[in-house]
Amino acid sequence: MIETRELTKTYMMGKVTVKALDAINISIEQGEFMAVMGSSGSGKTTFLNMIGMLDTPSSGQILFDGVDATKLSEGAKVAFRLNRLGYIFQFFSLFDQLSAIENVTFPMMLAGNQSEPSKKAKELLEVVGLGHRFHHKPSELSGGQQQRVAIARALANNPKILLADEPTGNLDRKSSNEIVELFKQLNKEHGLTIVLVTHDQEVGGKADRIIKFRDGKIEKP
Amino acid sequence: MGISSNLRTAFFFAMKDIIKDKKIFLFIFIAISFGTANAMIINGITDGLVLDLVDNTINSNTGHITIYPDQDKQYIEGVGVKEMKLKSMSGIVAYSSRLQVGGVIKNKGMAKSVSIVALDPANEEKISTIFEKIESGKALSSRDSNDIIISFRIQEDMGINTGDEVILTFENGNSKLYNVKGIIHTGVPAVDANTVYIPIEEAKQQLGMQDKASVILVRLTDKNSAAGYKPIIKQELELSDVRTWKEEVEYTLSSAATMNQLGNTIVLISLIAANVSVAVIIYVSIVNKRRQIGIMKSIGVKNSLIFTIFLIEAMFFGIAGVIGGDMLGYAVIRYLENHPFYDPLSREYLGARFGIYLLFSASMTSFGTSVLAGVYPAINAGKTNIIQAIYGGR
Ligand SMILES: Nc1ncnc2c1ncn2[C@@H]1O[C@H](COP(=O)(O)OP(=O)(O)OP(=O)(O)O)[C@@H](O)[C@H]1O
Ligand SMILES: [Mg+2]
Repeated sequence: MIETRELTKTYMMGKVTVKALDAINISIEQGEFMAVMGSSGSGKTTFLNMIGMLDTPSSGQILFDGVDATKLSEGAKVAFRLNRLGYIFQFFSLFDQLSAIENVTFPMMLAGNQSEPSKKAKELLEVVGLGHRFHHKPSELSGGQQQRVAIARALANNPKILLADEPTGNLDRKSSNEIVELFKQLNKEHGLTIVLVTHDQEVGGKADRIIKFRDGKIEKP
Repeated sequence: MGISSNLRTAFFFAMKDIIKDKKIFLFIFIAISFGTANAMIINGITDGLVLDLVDNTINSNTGHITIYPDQDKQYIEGVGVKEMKLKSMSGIVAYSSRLQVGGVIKNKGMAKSVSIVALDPANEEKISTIFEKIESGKALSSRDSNDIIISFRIQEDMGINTGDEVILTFENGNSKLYNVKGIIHTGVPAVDANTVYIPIEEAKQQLGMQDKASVILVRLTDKNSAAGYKPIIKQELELSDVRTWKEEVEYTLSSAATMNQLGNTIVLISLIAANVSVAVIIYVSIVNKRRQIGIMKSIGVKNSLIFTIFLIEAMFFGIAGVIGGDMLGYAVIRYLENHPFYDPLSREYLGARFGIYLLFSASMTSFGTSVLAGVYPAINAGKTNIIQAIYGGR
């Protein structure tokens, strides 16, 4: 489903070139739950941003079902992000002027393809275990609860792929486990392809497969 | 996704934003309101100055139509006949012939050259308001022959008070001792500088002139018909230099135009100042929302929608601020209309005038600049690189 070919990202830091990603070749199957691990600065976030089309590679290709994403127009990328991808950040990324349910409804309003956005939003909030917090603002929710809303928001437009960059990085053990279980459930029950970046061995252990980054390259298992 | 649902989404988000950032809303509201009100008030005051000046000029110096001697003559001759003709014309309320000569006023060893205006007090009452402009003392009456009135600058310069005796020397060399009956302040700077008023009969005697005038002022029932009367008067009186009040105040107005320009410059500066602060506030609030903009983009919000959201917010601020500013400006101008303030420098009362165009022009410029101030950061917001927006400029 997702395949990268010689995916490379370099940054110029003054005169020094930093290879954040160094010719990455990897393929992620549909329905796969993959964990990305590796030390700090090894290129995990850069990698996730590439396949999330938030950033453009210096060279190489990213293929989604055989289509080269790097060649897509800006408009096509926006539509892709809206309809087929769900992205979850490590930090709390909700719109703080919107309530939980409005946060989840917002992407549906954008896509404009839901007849009853708030009904769907409620369902999603129930899936992530927040059936009792519809109208709370982010500032009235705990970190774990906010992350659940973010997951519900990521799921709003029935994406095929869920990308999560250290979604449990700011959470305690218990919340962290709950979130991972939620991912696991979404993966199993809804067939979502999930790429999850984590430092946490225990979190990574729940995935079907772990890849490890080191200095912009994938470590041989 | 249709345009209307796009707009609805943008509205939804913009309104949530505004409701959340009440403090920012208040700041921007105040900034735009003051900018708008300021533009109105300054223009209202300059308008007031201009209109007052025009009124004062007409009322004390020119009437609605001013008749001068022909170019090559010093005086209008045969005034008696000409006055009869004026009297017979309908639409002419009153007229007054004046003699205007040079002279010197002397008091306590000081001397000052002055412009002596000789007039018929009884006629003047019908045509001008100068005798209502007496600051102290009394107005002239037709029976007076030893009394004069002096303008307030002469009083100040020479330390003369009402009741003082002064020597007035006419341009033909005749001198006489006069009693200062009153001090006048017309509000027309050129007149207030150095004018001495004396009754015309007395002047005729001193100057040995009969049936002559330097100028005849005419008052019409409607000042706007002056242009129509001008050629008729020219023909009937057989005089070529007849001017309407509009022509007469042209000079006044041209100096007022400079004043208007000054007003406009001040307005512009204060508008810029107000809008720079609006722009800064909006800009800062958008910069603070960089991460949020990045997140919006990451979930698939189009640049155009982000732009629309901030544009709606800027327009909302603009409308709210302009309405607030209009109300404030209107209230202040109306207040100044009724409570003119005294300017000790010009010794005039400065009152503002309200005109509906003030509301309109201040609102338009203010709204326009508010939106522009919001549009620039909005365009930037739309263009922001996602990664930079979310993670900051690493
Ligand atoms: N915008 C940038 N400019 C310059 N260098 C960058 C930029 N973004 C990332 N890098 C560099 O690329 C490398 C990979 O960064 P990345 O954020 O992908 O690491 P990471 O594996 O996600 O680390 P962490 O676990 O700390 O989040 C790092 O050396 C980093 O300094
Ligand atoms: Mg990272």
